[in-house]
Amino acid sequence: MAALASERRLLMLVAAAMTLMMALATWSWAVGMDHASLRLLTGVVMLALWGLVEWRVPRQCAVRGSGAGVLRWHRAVFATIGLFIAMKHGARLAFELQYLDPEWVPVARRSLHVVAGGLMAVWGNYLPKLMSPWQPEEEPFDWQRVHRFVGWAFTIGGIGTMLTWITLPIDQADAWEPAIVGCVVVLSLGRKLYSLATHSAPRGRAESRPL
Amino acid sequence: MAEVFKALSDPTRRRVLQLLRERPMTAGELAEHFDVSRPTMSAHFAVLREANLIDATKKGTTITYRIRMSVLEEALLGFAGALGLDVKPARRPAPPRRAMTKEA
Repeated sequence: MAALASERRLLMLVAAAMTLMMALATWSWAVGMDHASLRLLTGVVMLALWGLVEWRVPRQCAVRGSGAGVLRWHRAVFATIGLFIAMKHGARLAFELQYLDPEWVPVARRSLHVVAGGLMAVWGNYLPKLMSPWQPEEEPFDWQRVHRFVGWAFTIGGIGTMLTWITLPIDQADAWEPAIVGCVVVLSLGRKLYSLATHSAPRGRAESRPL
Repeated sequence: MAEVFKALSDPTRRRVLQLLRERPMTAGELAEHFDVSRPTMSAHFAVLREANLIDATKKGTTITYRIRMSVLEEALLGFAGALGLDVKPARRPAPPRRAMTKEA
């Protein structure tokens, strides 16, 4: 019962983050800010990806009880990304509407990105802990190895992002961050595709008696 | 975290984790790599499971183990292996020497 309540809270948090993100994107479009259409488009893409996760993951993970952990991890990621984007939109709106002192803009930007880098490292650290929803001999790709690789990539990328925003001037950090995140995403997707293309289920395992 | 450090302190358990990093293995496959009795291996698996570093799936009479380590735990495993952090059992005190008695 407590687990169900916690699941519901997490789902509500994702919904709240997505709603806030879309509301602020719409507001920035309504006041005629630069790149408002891009903000709206980002929101729509995030909503579509979240829908895809909610639709696909429970079906894929129905085989074993570990699916709940996979769905929880995805929801936590979407909640934090949604909140991060919403906070960025909020800070930008506050600046445009002259609620935010320009002196505080660099501090706000640095803080936001350092927190985002930290969250990325935390997700990466936890990712290899998730268990495959398939039986070992039925996995369509080498789940554990792929998740370990992606976990390391996210953790190193997250720490790199944090260090970038702590140490470099803002214009340089602004240029480095997309490069780091892009590398992490490309490497992760590449590793998964490689595993999908080359993985074959292990055969002829030695039978063993339970220990 | 204490369970993790305890699990990583033993070279046999570290070797089990290194083997499981390659691929999931059954209990029998893992036991073949070690020259220890089955109850001892079973105790090692129990410690690793308690620390939440491995996951076990039972199918019929076969138990398959899979690794379940976070990035931080894997880094700790690397450090423990590189530095050879083995917890050795405390040395038992030497038995007291018998006093030499002179026979008259």
